[in-house]
Amino acid sequence: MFRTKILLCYRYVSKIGMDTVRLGCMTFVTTAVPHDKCGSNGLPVTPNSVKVLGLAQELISLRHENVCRYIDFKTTKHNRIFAVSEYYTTTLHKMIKNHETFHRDWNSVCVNVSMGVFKGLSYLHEQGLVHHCLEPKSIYITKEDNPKLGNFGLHHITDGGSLVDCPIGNPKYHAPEHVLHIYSKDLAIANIKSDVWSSAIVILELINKSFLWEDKGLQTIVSKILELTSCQSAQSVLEVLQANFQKQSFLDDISQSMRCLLESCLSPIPENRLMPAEILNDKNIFKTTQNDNSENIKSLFSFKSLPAETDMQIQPIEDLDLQELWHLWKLAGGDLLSSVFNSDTTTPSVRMLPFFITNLGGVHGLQYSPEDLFDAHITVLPMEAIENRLATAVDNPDMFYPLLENKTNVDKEHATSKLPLLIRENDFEYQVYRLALFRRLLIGYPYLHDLLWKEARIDIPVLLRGLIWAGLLNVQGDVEEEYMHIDKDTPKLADRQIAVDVPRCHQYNAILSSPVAHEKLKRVLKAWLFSHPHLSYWQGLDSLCAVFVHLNFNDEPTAYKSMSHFIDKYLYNFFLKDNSAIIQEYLVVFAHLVSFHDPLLSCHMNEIGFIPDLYAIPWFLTMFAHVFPLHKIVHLWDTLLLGNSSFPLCIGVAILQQVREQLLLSDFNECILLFSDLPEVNIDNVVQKSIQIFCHTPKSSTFRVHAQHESNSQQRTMSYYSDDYNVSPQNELSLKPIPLADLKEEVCCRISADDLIQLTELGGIVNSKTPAKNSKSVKPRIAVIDIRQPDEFAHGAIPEGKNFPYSSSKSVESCLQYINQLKPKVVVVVGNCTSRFDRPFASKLLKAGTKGVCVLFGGIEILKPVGILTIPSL
Amino acid sequence: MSKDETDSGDHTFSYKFVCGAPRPNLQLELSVNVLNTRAKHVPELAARVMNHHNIPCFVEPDMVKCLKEFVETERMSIQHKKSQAGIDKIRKNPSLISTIAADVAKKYENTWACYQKPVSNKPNEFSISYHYLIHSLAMQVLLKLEQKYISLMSKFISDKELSIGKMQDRHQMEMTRACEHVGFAYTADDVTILASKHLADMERLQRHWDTETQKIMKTQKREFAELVVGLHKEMLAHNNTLNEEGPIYLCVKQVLDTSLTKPSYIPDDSLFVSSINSANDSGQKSTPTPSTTTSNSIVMEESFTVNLGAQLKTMHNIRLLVTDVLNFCRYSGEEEMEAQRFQTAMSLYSSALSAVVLLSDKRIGRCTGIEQEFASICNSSPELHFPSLDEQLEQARDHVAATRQEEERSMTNGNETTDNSEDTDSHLLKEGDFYITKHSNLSQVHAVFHVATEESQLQSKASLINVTSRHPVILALRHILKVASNYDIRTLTVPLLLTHELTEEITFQWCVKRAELVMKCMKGFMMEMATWDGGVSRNIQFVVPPGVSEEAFDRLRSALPEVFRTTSARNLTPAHRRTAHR
Repeated sequence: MFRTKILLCYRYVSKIGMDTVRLGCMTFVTTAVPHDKCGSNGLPVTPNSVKVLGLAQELISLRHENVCRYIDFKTTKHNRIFAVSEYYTTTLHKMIKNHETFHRDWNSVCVNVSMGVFKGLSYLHEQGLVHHCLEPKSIYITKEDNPKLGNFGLHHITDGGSLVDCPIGNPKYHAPEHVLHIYSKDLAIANIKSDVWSSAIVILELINKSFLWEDKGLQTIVSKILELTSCQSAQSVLEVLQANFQKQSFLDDISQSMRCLLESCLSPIPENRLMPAEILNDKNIFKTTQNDNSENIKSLFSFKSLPAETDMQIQPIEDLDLQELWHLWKLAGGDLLSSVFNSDTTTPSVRMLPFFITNLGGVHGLQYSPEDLFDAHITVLPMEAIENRLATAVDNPDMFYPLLENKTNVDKEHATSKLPLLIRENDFEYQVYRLALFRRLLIGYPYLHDLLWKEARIDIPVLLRGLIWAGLLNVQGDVEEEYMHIDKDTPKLADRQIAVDVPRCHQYNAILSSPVAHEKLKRVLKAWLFSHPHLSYWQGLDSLCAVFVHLNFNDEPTAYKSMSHFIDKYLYNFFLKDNSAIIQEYLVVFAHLVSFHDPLLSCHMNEIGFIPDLYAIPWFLTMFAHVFPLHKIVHLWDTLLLGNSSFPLCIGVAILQQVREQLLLSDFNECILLFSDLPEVNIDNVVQKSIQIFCHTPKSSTFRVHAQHESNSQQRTMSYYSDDYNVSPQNELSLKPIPLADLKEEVCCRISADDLIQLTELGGIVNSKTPAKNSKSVKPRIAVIDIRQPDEFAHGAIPEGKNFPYSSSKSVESCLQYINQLKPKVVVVVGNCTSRFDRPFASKLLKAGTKGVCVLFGGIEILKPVGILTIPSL
Repeated sequence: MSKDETDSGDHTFSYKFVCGAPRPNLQLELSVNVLNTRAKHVPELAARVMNHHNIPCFVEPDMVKCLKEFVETERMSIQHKKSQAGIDKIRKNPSLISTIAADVAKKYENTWACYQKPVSNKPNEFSISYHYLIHSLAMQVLLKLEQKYISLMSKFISDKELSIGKMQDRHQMEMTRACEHVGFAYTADDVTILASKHLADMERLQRHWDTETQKIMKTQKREFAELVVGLHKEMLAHNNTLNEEGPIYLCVKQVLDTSLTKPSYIPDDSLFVSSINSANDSGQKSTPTPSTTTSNSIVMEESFTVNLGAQLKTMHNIRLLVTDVLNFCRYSGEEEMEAQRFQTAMSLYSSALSAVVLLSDKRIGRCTGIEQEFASICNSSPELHFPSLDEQLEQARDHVAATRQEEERSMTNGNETTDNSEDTDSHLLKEGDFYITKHSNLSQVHAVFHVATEESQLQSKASLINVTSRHPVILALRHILKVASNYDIRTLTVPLLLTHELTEEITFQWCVKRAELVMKCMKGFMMEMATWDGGVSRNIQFVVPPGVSEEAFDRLRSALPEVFRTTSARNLTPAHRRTAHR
């Protein structure tokens, strides 16, 4: 079911004919809110432009053959909104104007257009929307003569017009009651029947091949509309309107069905007009309805006749989804602001400065700037750059049409994939290739899960990140149905805290600061709480949720499910009502990991008493989502999602490494201050470093009792790193849960016996990378330090183990010498499980700055039953 | 299904269903707000109800369908009722139509571009042309042209001073002679007559000069605008290069070549004067040029880079410097003048403006203290882009008066008691109010924020306790940052101690405490600013008046990184100055 949803996204891929479809952009200014006012929650009032932005997101997901797609919305300063949508050069307005050039049967044109319009309206109505801007200029005709409704979102995104100063829609096409609503400012009334009226006027103009009231002034037009209310029936309205056309003979000529259509739409009383769906189903109006449908179905199944081989040409631009086209348009150097807003119309800032501002912040004497007026004009965005860039893609079809099952092709690496991420994300050709690849991988999900995983290790394209993450998190099944059945409304205890936290969560992001986003965040949070009754809301969950809601803004179910899987994997039981045991254990393991990789820093921080509890809880509780801005979180998580549940610990160490120098120089107070306002962190370095750290850590040393121990992914274990120690099967050599107090006693990481055997290759040579060796073939660099008494050592020891008896005073120094010589990646201190001299010994090694120190869990005793101990030759 | 006449949208949905033979028909009643429930929420609502009442799942599809229909029809009926009421009203009273039509038409005309009457003059033409030229090959020509106007103006001003000086000399001479001869050729009355005649003469001359100044400024401005717009068009037509033969270019050349010979506007009575008058006359607005180009002296300076913000960090540059705040307005010597002018002119119509905060008093345009000095700098060269300072002050005054009236009206509307405000108060600012002036002829700033303050109070010892983060002047800083973020002001200069001069009362401790307050507040406002504009990097310059002791500066220098928690700091005070001050 999740799979079908991805498919759905691509089903309505709009084909781009070179001369028909374009991207168009409309812009308008929303009403400014006074900046000295506060909302009821004490926070500043959300600017109207941000409200618009939030409302608008819903439109992006709308897809219907008779409705233009909205592609993107942007907001800039001075409350301006840019709406990018599908755009066609031919409008109904042009068609009526130049009707002489059309040599086709006009009547069939009329039927086709009206059917398309009502289909579109019916779809909008299903979605709970109204158009209210219907006019010939906003109806586009595609190359295939398919009418498409454009500009329909204005009413919805401006919350019925309340967020802008201007009334919405061309007044000529307004129904009488709609004019009255504009007058009485009763904007909440959004009735689809007003649109039915507007479409009837449009169709009437179409039939007459001329425009109504062309030479009349605005006021006259409005009063003429209002005067129509005096008519008692639709017939008389129609007659009055017809009398207003310059050519008057048409009414007799039009077909009975058209007349019937107009009469069912033009009643002065909205109640008496038919609904769009009713009109479509009315046998008296559209006799051809049935035929048309069957034809549509036929064309869906039949292949188009392929062009002859000689003129067969690949046109990549036709195979792009509009969303991808828009994304690539920006990468190809498209600049929305400058293409829509040429400098001729902008007033420079210095001229707009107000004159006087009171001490309460009231602004007076704002300069009037003409471009703030509403202009329904749609600017066509220039496509030359992207067309030219895409033309080069034709040279290499492999790039644009990658074959997934063909191994030789997939293994070939793209040259750009070696460059830094930032360059890759902005490289046009590379993104074309990645988008094409991932689009196919997603369509093939979950079958292609492994391949998706593999490609995600290189990088993840921005545009598809939400779905790819869901794939990486194993989101499957009918998520939508599941989400729908979760109660998100019933008041709960956590509501108060959620209401406080949500309007403060990642608010620098415009979309997330909109009321719509707040509502969505709240719903997803409540859904998660409802479906996980044993867990509770902890502050920080909002930040975590915000990341998923932001990526899947129009897809709450996927956001919800991704978050649930994410929490199960990385934050298992972190959100229990009493989570102290889990967090405490996590932090101790973290502290051990720090000592493993940076003994000096660890010693310094222990010395000044700056323990992880003081800074790392928000890191891990939110998986860094509270610490970093969204654009950094997504890059961090791109890698995090590929790692196992221990990977976040490595990220934590990597962050500490970045502020290492400052920490080493700071005392307790300065450390607290430093972390209260964490300095700018280079996230790319953190990602690279954390991978390194992960690779140099024996997997058993991040074992946690409270981790999730059964996994829901059925991945084959391929190498040392690919399996998560927490979920792999347990045996007598594994790490055993020990009480938290004991864990806190430990000074460094523990390593399990089976891990030790694997690392030292005592069980046979393993051809894979491990923390102890970098490449597959070399010998592992691991030092096994046996600190028992020499006589015990002589009775049986680990092969390659060196004996540095703890009791002897010089043994630490000689051990350090040995380590300096060998330069091992991992130093395993082996002692007796009863005496535990390994702890003080290890801590001495740490103080001396030895990296990679860990102790064998259970001491030498644990290895006795296995039979790998040998008598050392002295 | 019940109806609710108040149209709040809450309607009761009742649903009957059978689940299994042994159980009777069940009925469910549920209150739904049909106006707020959208079609897409219905399945969710149904699911919730089913969950709550433990209804078997096979009922669900039908229930969703019924609920959907119910919401739909009920909402429609509310809407229809409302529409019907409106239509009935105008059916009953058709005379309403014309008023409604006029009102709706007006709404459209005021807000839709296509219903606006076409305007002939393009308000932005000049600024676009200027911005284009200053970034093109023509910038040299443009700067020369401006320079020309400046020199013409300064010549004119010196002529004016000369002529006034002459008249004063002559008057003095006549007066001395008259006084000496009182009792002989002249009576005391004669002297009074003479004095009043002198006064009248002086006034006439002054008025004459003033109107001439106005006139010449207007012609200069018009001529400049015409030339700029013309030259822009000419360059566009000529492939973006200067057309050496173009008529406008030649015209510009001609203006540039006019020598500084005495123009015709010099009135007659100054013709026979020869000697040069020393500028000891008081009451004159314009001070001689040297004071406006005093070579500036940044005594001590330090620069910081700070990252502000909890999650999203925004980088800002902060400069801490000891100098006279007006040094950002006046030019520092002839040789640097061109470079500074160039820099400022380039960014005038860009989105990287720079502004300075001046602490003035409650009367707009009162010519004392810092405002007077500022006015003299402004008036020393022609303002070719914006209205003159006086005109701008006048406009600001109008806006203040209008605002005060508005406030009064809303006050009296609320309660009828307060009407004792005097007329004189209508132009007065309140503490923390500020007005903005725009300039093209200052060295480093494009806009100036004039904040109304009680300077003596701000400087007093008591102000250490009185001035808190809620003080109106501090709040004014917040509003200034708001304006800055709205209108692309990227460089803002703020008096760190909220005073432009150091008085006897001001102690070391006072400085440190005040500076910390302002810095802390500014930090808060700057962090807030990121939520207004999404985080734009800015330069904030904290100015400390000259005369502050070096140890005080050192203290401030160490306080700044503590407040802003910055990482990098660089002492930019030139080495020789540093040593000189030790």
